[in-house]
Amino acid sequence: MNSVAAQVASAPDLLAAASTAADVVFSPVGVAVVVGGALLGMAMGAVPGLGGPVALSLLIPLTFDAEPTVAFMLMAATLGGVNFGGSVTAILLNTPGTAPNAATTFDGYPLAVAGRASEAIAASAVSSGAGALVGLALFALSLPVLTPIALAFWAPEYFWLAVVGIATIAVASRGSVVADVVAGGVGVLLTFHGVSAATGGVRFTLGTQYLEGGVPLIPAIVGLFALAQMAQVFASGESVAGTTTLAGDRAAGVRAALSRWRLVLTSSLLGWTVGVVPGVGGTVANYVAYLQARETDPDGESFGTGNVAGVVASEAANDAKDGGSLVPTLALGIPGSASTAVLLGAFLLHGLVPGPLLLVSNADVVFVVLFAFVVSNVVTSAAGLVAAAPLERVTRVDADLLVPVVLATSVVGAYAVRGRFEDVVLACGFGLLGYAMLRLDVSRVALVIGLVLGSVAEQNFHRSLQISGGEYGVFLTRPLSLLLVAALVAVLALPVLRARNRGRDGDASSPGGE
Amino acid sequence: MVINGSAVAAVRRSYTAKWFDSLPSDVLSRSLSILRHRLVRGGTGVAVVFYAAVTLYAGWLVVAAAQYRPDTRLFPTLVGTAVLALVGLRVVVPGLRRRLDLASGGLFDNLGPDSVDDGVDETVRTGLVLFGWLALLVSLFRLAGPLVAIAVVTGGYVAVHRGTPRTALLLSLAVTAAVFLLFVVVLDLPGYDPLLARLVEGRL
Repeated sequence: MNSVAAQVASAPDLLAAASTAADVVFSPVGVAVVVGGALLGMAMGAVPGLGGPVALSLLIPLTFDAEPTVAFMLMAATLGGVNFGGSVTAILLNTPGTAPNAATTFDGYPLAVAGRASEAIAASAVSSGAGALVGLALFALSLPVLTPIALAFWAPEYFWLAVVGIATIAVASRGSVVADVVAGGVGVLLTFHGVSAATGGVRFTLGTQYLEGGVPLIPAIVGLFALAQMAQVFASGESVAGTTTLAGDRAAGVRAALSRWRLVLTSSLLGWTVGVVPGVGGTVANYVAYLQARETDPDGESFGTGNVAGVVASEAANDAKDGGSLVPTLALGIPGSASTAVLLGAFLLHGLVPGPLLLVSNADVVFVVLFAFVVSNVVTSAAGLVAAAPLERVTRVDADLLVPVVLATSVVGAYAVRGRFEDVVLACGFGLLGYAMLRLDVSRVALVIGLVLGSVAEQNFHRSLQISGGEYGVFLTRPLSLLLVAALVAVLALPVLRARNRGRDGDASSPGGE
Repeated sequence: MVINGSAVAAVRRSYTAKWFDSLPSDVLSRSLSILRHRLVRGGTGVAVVFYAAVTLYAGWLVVAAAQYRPDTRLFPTLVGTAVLALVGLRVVVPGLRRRLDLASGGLFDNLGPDSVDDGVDETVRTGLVLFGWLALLVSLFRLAGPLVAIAVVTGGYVAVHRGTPRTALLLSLAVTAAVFLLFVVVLDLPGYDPLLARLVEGRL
């Protein structure tokens, strides 16, 4: 009997698989591999230009001859450490180690400038760990219903989700809304170079082979954040924290995260939900979580100036999204993110075929990955708490010593991704652009969001039309699409409503009113 | 009724004088000044350069898109046009904000400078100096490879800005060693064939 119903994994089978996986992960070798992977992930996440996809892709050849479970444990553990590592540089240097850490810079860096870097890092460590655990718990709970969740989203929904993601730029803007939307628009324009989603032909290549592959994301991020920020530090001539007295401490950071457990839960849920949708990416997850934290916090006005809740929301969502991205990756063989795409490649290399039957034929492997993630995040959080105080000293390092080091590693990081010198030049160009944006207080994160989601929106727009035979009604006929359109309207209306409310409050508080 | 020609002429001269007071050169210079001040915060040219570059880029994309098929050019044209419109909005909204209640709620905050300052922005100029170092790093990267570039630029930077040759040498060695260990040994960095090596070996 080969019906799907007969092949669904039963609870006892899942429990047996979990037990087998636990024996593997919690063995001495397993613990060593996971701890090593977590620390390696932390280090790689902290270097601008590396991060999850690069770290995992570089591990593939190293683990090719290893036992499959060892390879999967190492990769899952590395991925678990990358997110937190990226938050460290986001906090200390206003440079997200990975794109999904971008929103952490909003409040993490101001905290570092105020001498509270260890508090921010500790809060990040706790909320990262908690977010990851929530995300993985949700993944485990959703195991019996993985397939319908992942299959709910079609091309029209991906299109609307990408548009909603881009529209959040207007809501999250801390300076000029128009300027930040321009930045987002420029990011979207940059995605049009290279292969056209509609025809498969190349466009806007300026006659160069280099642009046929499009504008690569990692050199852009390295330039926009690492190089631009170092120009700022160079110009200031001071260390990041300047002469500010170091005032934060780890205990305050831990308390800040634990006392905001509701925020951690909601942010984790948001991050996990976004992570479930393939291809949308972590950049949107932590951005959306940051927005909801700002809108719901009684002290929302202080976001962007050093409110630790901003760090908590962003990092909880950032780590929870990995649990979400495992849903389509393992259930359908559709990578939920760039990092899980590489993980998927590793699975295939070792003879494992992700898909609906994975839970039936290799449930123990699924649990190995799950447990490795859990242990890795606990290790990473603990290491982050221990290292928070020493890491804070980075904010005291003289600019003349810090700048050349970051410059050197960033340039090599930009080169390391594809081994192309042109990526280094591109990173420098984005560095100039990023510095101008920094000086003008125009959001660089908005540009990155446009760069990430622009191609998703266009591809799925054309894909939807192909599916519907050219009928534009396909964008408004499915309930999930209509829900996303409503979300888009709400996102666009929010700044207008907020502006009107502020205007009314201002009129009411002014003497005599108008 | 006799119309006093000279009185009419005097009135006309009066209005003409007022009109001449707002002749194009003055209007132009005032308009440019307003434009500059609406775009620029702190009197720097950074905003002008930035928005001019965005306008040129978006404009080029929209024009270049015309050569492609309708479905291929749809998104570039839409988004490019929207970006151009938004840049235009960025310029004129400060004038409109007095007419729009929305502006009072902060929706269009920070669109123009609060004060006029025609001084040179020293921070921008100083920050740009770093890109000179970056250009040197990239040039050496191309000529001699990443490790040589890092060693030379890191040491040179510290020597120039701190004036301590010993610190410069130590940091240069440490950074180069760390990059070698992490990127070359652990991560198997893709090899780079520098120009100088090709020149020396006659492969250029």
